[in-house]
Amino acid sequence: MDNNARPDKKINRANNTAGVFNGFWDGFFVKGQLDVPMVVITVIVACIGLVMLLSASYPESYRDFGHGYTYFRNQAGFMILGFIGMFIASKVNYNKLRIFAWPALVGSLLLVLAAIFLGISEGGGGGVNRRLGFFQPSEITKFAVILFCANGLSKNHKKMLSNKPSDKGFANIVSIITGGRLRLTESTVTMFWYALIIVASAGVVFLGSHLSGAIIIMAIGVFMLWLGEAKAKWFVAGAIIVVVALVLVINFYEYLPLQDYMKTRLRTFFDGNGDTWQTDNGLYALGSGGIFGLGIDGSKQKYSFVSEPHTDFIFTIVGEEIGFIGCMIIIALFCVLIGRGMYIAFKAKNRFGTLLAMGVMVHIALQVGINLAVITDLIPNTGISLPLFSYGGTAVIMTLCEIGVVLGVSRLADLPKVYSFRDGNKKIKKSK
Amino acid sequence: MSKMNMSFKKRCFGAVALLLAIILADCGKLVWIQIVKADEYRLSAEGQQLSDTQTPAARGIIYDANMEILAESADAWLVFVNPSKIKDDAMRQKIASGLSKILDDEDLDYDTIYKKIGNKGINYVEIKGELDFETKEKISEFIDGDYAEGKPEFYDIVVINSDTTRYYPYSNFASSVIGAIKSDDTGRSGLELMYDDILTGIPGRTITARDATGNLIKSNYSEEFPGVDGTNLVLTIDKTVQHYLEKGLSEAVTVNKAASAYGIVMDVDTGAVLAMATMPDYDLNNSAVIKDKRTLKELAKIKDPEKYSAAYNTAVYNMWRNKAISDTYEPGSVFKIFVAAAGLEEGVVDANFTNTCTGAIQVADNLVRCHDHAGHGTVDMSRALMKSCNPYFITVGQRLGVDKFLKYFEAFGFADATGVDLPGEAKPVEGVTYHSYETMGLPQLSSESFGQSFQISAMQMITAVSAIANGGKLMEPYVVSKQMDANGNTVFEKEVKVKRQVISETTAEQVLSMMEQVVGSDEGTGRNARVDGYRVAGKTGTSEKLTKDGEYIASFVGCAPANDPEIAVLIVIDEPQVANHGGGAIAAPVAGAVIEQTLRYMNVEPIYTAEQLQKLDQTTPEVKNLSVSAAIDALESKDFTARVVGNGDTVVAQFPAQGQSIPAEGVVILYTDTNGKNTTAAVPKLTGMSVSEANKLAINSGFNIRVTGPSEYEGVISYSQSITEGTKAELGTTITVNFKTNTGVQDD
Repeated sequence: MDNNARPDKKINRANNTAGVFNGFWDGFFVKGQLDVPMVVITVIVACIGLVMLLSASYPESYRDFGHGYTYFRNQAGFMILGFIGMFIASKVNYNKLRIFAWPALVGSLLLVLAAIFLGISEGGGGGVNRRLGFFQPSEITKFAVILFCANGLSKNHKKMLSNKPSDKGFANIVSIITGGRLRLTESTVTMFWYALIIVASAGVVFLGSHLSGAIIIMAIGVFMLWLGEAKAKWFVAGAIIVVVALVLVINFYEYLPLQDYMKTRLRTFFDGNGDTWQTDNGLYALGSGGIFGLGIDGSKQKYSFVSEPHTDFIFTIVGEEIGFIGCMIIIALFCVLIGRGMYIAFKAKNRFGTLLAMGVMVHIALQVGINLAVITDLIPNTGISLPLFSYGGTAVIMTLCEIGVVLGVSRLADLPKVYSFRDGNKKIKKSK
Repeated sequence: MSKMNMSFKKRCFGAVALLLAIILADCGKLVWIQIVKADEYRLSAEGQQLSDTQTPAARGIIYDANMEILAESADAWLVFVNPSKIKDDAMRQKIASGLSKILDDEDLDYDTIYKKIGNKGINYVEIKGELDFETKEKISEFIDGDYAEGKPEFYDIVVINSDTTRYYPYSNFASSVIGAIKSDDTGRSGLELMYDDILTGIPGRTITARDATGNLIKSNYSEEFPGVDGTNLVLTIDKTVQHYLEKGLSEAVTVNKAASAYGIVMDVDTGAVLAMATMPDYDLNNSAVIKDKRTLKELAKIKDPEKYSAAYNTAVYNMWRNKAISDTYEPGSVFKIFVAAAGLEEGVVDANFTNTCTGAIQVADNLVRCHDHAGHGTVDMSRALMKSCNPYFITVGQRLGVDKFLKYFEAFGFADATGVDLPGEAKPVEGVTYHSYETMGLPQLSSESFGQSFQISAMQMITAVSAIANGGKLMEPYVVSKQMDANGNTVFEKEVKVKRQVISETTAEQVLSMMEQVVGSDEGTGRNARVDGYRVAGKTGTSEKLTKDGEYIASFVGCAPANDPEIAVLIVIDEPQVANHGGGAIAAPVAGAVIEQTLRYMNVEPIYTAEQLQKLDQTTPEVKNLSVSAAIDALESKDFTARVVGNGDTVVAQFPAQGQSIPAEGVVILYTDTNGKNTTAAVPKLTGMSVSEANKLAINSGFNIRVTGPSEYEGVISYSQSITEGTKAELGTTITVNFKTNTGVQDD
């Protein structure tokens, strides 16, 4: 987009550090200015989220702990940690993160497995997530998949586009089996490699009884492959498979090897004859709010009517208290946040930065979109939380840290800088 | 990215477009939920959030005319369970067994309660209401149980709430008028139903928001609407008069083995109902329970349980029926007084008009018989009424013609409901319950003229009779004279309503004086209603039931004092099972007794003939401490009889004591030693005797008798006594013996 990198920034030293430990710490932190609008919008959304969490969690907290501020206090703590994490992440030269692509993915998946065997159970509606204390390792996996894909797909971008026959062992095996009739291209082999990693990661998370995490990881993976410019035909094929799978699930989910709580949720959604308590009460809450809402703390549905009013279903309470107009404002703020993040992605110095930032924004956008789809009863209840609103330490910290990574991208991106924190005089500076 | 090519841009736009599409779809659904369907969801939400607690308003009190309480509501309690808070099956069992033991109700045994409280999805199951204080205290103790964690064991799980219960202090008293209430405190019959709205009051309401488990949400969302207690009713019914009527009717049912008997006492000048009763009656406090032995016996014959319960239900509904307004009957000869009144008023006949009764009269193709087959000979109106001559009144009716006949039929109110403020009044239907202009030919006119072939209610009859008694004004009958709010302020007072002047005062007086002859004359069919000291006017009636072969309805209507009537009394006896089933034989004596007691109670000065004066009660002299012989002398000088108990010389005690009023020639027991005091003896059988026979036997047995009913002519015999024969009673006790005659009182 612009070829004239600013001369005062000397950042490209660490451009190709993967596997090179020597000089790793050189330029690990960068000093470029972060994108202030992104910080502002993040703080606004987080603050609103925290206030709404206080309101929505009060009765639950009162019931569970005898006083109403426990969830709020914890969440506030997580947010502080998250913002600290965000700042630190923003200072990191994101290019240095390439080295963590494999370790992060493998490490997080090991943690997920550890949680399966060692962790404690929690979760509403029968969905039992396994986690380690407050720590939900699958939240790490989500970012690990983003990082892994961004790293690999930027590095192998040429291969992704290449129609040359692949010389990989796998391609050779396919060739031998098919008697040379099917010679896989480099593009296909690369695509399948990443698809395999994504599906495997999602599979491990799914084993941890975290259906929503698996869904998000799959969706993120699909977006990453799409943005990594995998051939469009695979998405067409994938779409067909998904449609067929959906038809199968809708008609035959009773016979599929799914866990009971998943079947129950599907039953509830498709037949409406299961326990529709949570969904119904969510709709009652949203409907009660109407256009203008009942006012902050005006919700009555949060008094044990809506299950999980402070986690997955927090937005129903938001809708009840601040109404349709409030909902629209919050959705608009999310759009601004995501939009700004994507803008940073477009302005990133390199393809890795773009893919990394896009991945994070796709992650947030997917969580928002699917969470709203669940509470508005567009899709079955999957248990996906709303970023920066839903209660949950790992999710909040991870979301903020991911935004921090995007801010890190912004530091090196070619962006018009609005404020200068370094000058301290908050004067608008124009950058050329 | 420095080298962002077109294909990557497209990929980005594609991704953004998809994400945007998802979010827009969400927004679209939000529009649907929060704007289009908002009200629907809000109502569903409020349905589960808002809890409407009612504080019952006290149901209005029902007073009699003298502000005696006939029905009142008392505070009570109800117990309910919140199954959503029952922790486990052990707790459920504990609650079921605890409550079933305390409530001790066969409909609420352990299994029933256990089943009732099983649904964890609800938070209110009423177990039982109308609990008394004692039961409430026991449950309260049970709730405390093992005090755990500083709160009662079943806190918020078993809950006591306020309730009210209806209490009728006199149980069966005026049951068909007052009526019963259902278990939900709404009226089911009688005044409880008629005035249900105003008796109910407005319950206080507290609307609060509750969470899913039924706990109050700690918010200031709470609205209170204070309740208004029900309006109190003051009846025209006088407890004393009602008691006289009920006693008379109840006796009539027993003595005549009748299916039922009903009657009304009315203030003729206002239309106020002083008493109204149907026998057999029922206990208002247990209104669904049949206690009448005869009904129970009939029911016991039904073996099939389904048929039995159906029959039981029918019997219960029948028991609740206020027959005095809901049942219709053929008035028979009683109706002749209205034909007489119409004839006189219209001038088609005068009182001296005579007709010769040969025992039958030819009407068109039919020969209509008079009840006296020998014929009454030539009679004028007064005598015709006295002897209840059918041909005479057929003639008068024919002279009136259909138009004038129906004009008076309607004017006396027989074609309309009376409008009394009670539910379930029978409504006359033209052409069905009586002949219309179109359907009334000569035969119909003739039969209606002596009270046959149409049906009326007792309430219609007594208002029409009251019109004759009060100088021709048809009144609107009523039972509630006043309505008062809970603070005692009168909020409504019934205004006496004259519906119309039916006949002139002169005609009314003329008919009344002829009615007096029916009772007063030694040849009148109403002789049994004669009362010493009061002039009674009346008319007897007997009709064969159209619906049941061989069953009769005997009735008597009377008003007194005849010179200026204050009350009218109607007694109807349904299906009497005695040989002399005529109104004059069985209804008139009951009416007479009611009239006598009521007039006395109303302090109407009796005027006695010299003969009657002699028989009046006398005051006993003081004979205590006298020698036995001196005491006997003292008593006999006053025409009393003395009976000595013991061997002493001096009277140490007497019964009845000095200054007591006992019937003339009565016996006074003299005790000569204190050990003998209160000696008892078996009461002899005093029925089926003449006055003198009964008196003699009673005095010989050491008892006094008070004679009621006619006594001064031949053929009068006793038919009931106030103390059953064989009962032990203290010597000297006064037994009331009822007398009547069965000769010459036949009227059909």
